[in-house]
Amino acid sequence: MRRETYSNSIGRLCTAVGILICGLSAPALACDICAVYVSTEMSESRTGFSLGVAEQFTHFGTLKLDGKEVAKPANEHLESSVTQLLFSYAPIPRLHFQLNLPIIARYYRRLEDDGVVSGDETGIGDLALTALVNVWSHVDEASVVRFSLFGGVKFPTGNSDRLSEELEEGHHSTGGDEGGEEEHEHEEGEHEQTVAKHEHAEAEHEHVESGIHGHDLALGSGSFDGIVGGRLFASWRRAFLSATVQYTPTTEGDFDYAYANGLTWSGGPGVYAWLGHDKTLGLMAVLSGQTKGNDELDGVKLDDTAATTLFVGPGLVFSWGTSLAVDIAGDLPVIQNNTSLQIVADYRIRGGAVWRF
Amino acid sequence: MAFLMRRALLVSLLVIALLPRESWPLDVGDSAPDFALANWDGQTVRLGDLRGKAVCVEFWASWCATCAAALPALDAVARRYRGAVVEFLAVNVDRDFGKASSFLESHLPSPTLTLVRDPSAELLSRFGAPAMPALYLIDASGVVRMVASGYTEKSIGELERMLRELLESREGFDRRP
Repeated sequence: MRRETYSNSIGRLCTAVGILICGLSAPALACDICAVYVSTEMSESRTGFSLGVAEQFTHFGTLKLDGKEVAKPANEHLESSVTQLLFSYAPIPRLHFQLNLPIIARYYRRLEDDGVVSGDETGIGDLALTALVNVWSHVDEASVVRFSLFGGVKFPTGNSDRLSEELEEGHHSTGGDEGGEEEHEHEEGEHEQTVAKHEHAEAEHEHVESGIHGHDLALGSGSFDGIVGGRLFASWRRAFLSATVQYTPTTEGDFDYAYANGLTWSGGPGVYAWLGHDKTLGLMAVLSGQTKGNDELDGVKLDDTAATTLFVGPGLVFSWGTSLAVDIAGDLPVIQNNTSLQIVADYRIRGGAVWRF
Repeated sequence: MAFLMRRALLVSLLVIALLPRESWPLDVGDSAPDFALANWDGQTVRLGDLRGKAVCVEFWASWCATCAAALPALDAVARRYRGAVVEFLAVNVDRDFGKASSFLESHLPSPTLTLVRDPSAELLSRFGAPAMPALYLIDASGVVRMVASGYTEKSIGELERMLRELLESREGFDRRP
């Protein structure tokens, strides 16, 4: 009797899931392209104000030395949460201005001179103002294509005090522009010492360098930096491709510290599982990542700052008319290269919602 | 962190409160913004010139499969109300005029509707239409009385019911013959 009840429950559950799956993958509604057009071209072209919030949570829990995982005797880790408040205004259909205000919270456990230290760093990050222009778009019976360019400035509003740690770290430069041959040889020697020191430390658990540096914890750079990039959306029937690439040319900020120029990207193919006349739900395979070179301290390149990471993961996008756009993605690293000793990401969760008024 | 989030929330609410209402999508009870669009012959049609009449505005495009049913249905309503103080505007958002004309040849060769063009979709953006096609009924004093997104027979029935109510009330209508 009990088994029958259980069996019935399972049956009902299967039926419900079946109905849901059929509903999600129902044959094309009256006008699929209309739904795609409304959720992309028309939403982004709408004039007026919009407000949004985006969150990126990253867990850094793997210590890597020149791209190779090393032991983590002190269980160092870093949790980083960056919440962005987005204020946007479109005075005309193909141009909008956006203000990003990041609120950053970082919790860490790392090795310091006094031993293992846990702490946090929270506050406002660097404010960014960007302008986005739709330079080309196309709509026909089967496809929507939209290409936009954006550019802007990042202002030094975040607290950069943590960068002062870089002055005390006793860095190992990588042979910056101002370094001579002699200095370069010295640096190479020092780098070898770093490796040796770390290997030694792994054995004895002492005098180890931390993989979490001042530049990882600083909320701001103290510099005015540039932002340039492009965004592409292309759909064909129920399939779509979305990609955003952003390049950040940087300048020297507080404590004579200059973050390296960075390149970030996010995008991938997807399919609309549900297209209603004013709602869409899309599933994506997201490839995202970032690469940056060596930061500089007083013009000298630092060896523990260059990193490249490629993430892969699922994504979900939802829209309601031209008013609401929501996206969620989970990222797992598949390629991670870094220089010297750094803590790298184990996973990342991103999400955002924008409401257009 | 909680303090920062509270402050951010307050700032967001303040920004929402300060947002100008006219930037929101057009809804029932709002005043329709004035606009001027070229008709199929290149002559300008202004909403302001149509005050004193009810105005029915439908946005459509050649790539919109639903519009192939919605536009003839609206045209049938326009034929039934020919001679009444109602204007029917079909606003095309195609960039390619040729595609729009081909669509009409196939689906509505002898339109009663007044055809106008919005190739940059600027008016569509100002209306903030939530779907395609999108239908708006504006009364004789310029106030939006109905918004319908997509197309169903029910929405056309609702449009006719609203039109009858407006015409019977004669509120704000131009009484010239």
